[in-house]
Amino acid sequence: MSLSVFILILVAAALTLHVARYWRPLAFVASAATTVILVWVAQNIGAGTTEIFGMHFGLQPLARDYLIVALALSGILAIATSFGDVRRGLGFLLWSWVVWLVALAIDDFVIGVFAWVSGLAIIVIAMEPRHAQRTGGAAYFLVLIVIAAGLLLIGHRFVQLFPLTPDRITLLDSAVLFLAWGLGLLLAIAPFILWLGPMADEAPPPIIAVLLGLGQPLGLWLLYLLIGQSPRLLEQTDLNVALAIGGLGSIFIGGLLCVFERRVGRLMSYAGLLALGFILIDLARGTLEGAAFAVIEIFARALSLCVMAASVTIARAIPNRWVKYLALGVFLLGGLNLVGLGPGVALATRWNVLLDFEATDRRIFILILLSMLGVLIGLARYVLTWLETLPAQAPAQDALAPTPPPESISGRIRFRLRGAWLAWRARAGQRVPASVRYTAGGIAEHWRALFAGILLSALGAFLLWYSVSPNLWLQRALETAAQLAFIR
Amino acid sequence: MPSLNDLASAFALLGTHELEFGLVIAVGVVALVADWRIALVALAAQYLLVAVLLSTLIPLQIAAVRMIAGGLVAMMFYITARRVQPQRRRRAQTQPQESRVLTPRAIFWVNLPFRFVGLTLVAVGVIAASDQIVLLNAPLLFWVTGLWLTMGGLLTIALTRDALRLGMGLLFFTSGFGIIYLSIDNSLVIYALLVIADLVIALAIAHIASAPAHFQGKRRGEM
Repeated sequence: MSLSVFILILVAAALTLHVARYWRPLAFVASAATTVILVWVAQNIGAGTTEIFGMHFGLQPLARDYLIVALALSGILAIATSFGDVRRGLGFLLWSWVVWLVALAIDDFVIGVFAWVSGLAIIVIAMEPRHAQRTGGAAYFLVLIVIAAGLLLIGHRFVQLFPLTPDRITLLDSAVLFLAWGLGLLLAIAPFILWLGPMADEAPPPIIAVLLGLGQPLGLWLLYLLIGQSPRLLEQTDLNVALAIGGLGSIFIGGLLCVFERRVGRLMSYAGLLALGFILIDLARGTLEGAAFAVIEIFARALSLCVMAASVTIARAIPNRWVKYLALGVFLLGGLNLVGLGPGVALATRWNVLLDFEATDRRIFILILLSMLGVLIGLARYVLTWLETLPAQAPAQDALAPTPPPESISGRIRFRLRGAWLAWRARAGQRVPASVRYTAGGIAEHWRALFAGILLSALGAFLLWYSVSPNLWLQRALETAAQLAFIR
Repeated sequence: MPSLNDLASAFALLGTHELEFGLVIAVGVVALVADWRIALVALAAQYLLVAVLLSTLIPLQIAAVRMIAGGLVAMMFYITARRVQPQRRRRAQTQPQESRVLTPRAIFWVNLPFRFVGLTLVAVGVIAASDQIVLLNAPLLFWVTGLWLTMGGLLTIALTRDALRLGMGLLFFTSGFGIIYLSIDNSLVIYALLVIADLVIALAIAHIASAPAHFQGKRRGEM
């Protein structure tokens, strides 16, 4: 299957979710169906490249893996969102992927940057401003998107002009300055983190997870696409040093901010900032192993943020206590994985970095440990808040309570039709055995809790399986990272 | 009906000084005047003047696309503002005192003298910066004009808490950036993408300006 057909399918899927959001059962079915279809189709995209207007489009193995995981996670977030009463952002979990797919597949940095920032701008539309007609986190994030895109384009222009003066690296240094500035703004690398909190205040958790976990890594993908085309950007400048410093700063600041945070959006953002710091440090090594570890960290970060967002969304939507406790457990698993304390993959990559610092600079080692502790404190504080809000017993709804008939004519017609439908259903139900009737009634009443429980259990089980199979993921990451242009 | 040649002749009447003066006035109006209708006219005029300026770098037919995009953006903002303003007026009349306290206020009292001082500082900064540095040998006219529009846009963004006004500032910024970038890289692909970006930005701003508020008073420790 070609990429253009896949883009059409993606548009159709996003449109379906956008329309289906009005009726909850339809939104749930559409989310589940589109997730399965998109993942299946993404696995079957052809490996060849397509040429349009002189630009080449093709998915490298790493990009294909990322796309499959990202679509699966976006779909899971869509399913979790479909349980809630507010489903306005459902379609936006997929709309951005229409342009982000272009950013993943294209070999041109400029078009890639435009596609990436367009996807981020689409995400802004899914945000919920706290004050009507007033600027807030969403609006300022949009401003940053525009400014950062401009900086990236100017940085790219410097790289383009460098071959005119190959004996002087002034242009390359300027390019690194603009690229680091632009990427630093959009990835919220320290010290450019100011937008992260206000943005998190105005975005629902699934949108935060898609933006930070799945959208941000595309910027790193584009940077390394550019490095693959101009390797001197890495060889003759201090880009790796800038990445390492930015990574360390992100870890320290992310950990520190988590200590004082009790809002879930901000907590997720700052914990994600800590994980981003480890990704940057892995990339700063400039080796195949570093790139493979960074890939694993990117996947672990995306998975953790999505698991946390899905569990919070489900806990807010479903009143059943057992679902809330299950969501709390899965949230904790996701949080521990984000900190790097889950067993397996994340632990292996984190401790690799930590042991390096333990051998070279013990002060940084201790500061990183303290930062991780800061995220743990933030998680613990939030979990305690969550436990306090759990009701002793969910209020029982009296299904037999009489409702007054509506006064309008259309309302009366609907009331009569509904009465006739309920009477017919009751008569038909008499013919079904009592045990079947009881089970079906229970499912009909608690279908949301049932499917939410299944989804949460599946997420938790996947997280545990993912954690205990590190060799599988490391091997795949090494294979795919070895095929990247900048490594070759 | 006027043809493209008529448009070219009309554009030819505008000299460099007139263009520069017009853009100085446009930025000044958006940064200083509180009335959204006047600011919207300034935004539309800015699109027209920038298209005239860009027609010296790229063919007129292509430069005119920016004018069309500007017209669409201005229309989008006008419709949004018309929808939003009555609600704002009604809310201001009916709001109880406590909820008025919750409405966010600017940190500083951003009145006309404050904005005027800010604009003057930006003007001095642009003159000083364009005298000292040039980005990749960009022609002085485009460098100064681009810098003025970008800085003026950023000033507008910094001074306002109104979503539509912020959008206007952002579009001034993209116009300035477009002038600077096209003067150092005469790429039609970039030009087309910038025009599309303007429309996407206007769409997002229109959404932010017209979206209902979700503020519930809870800030810390919310589930």
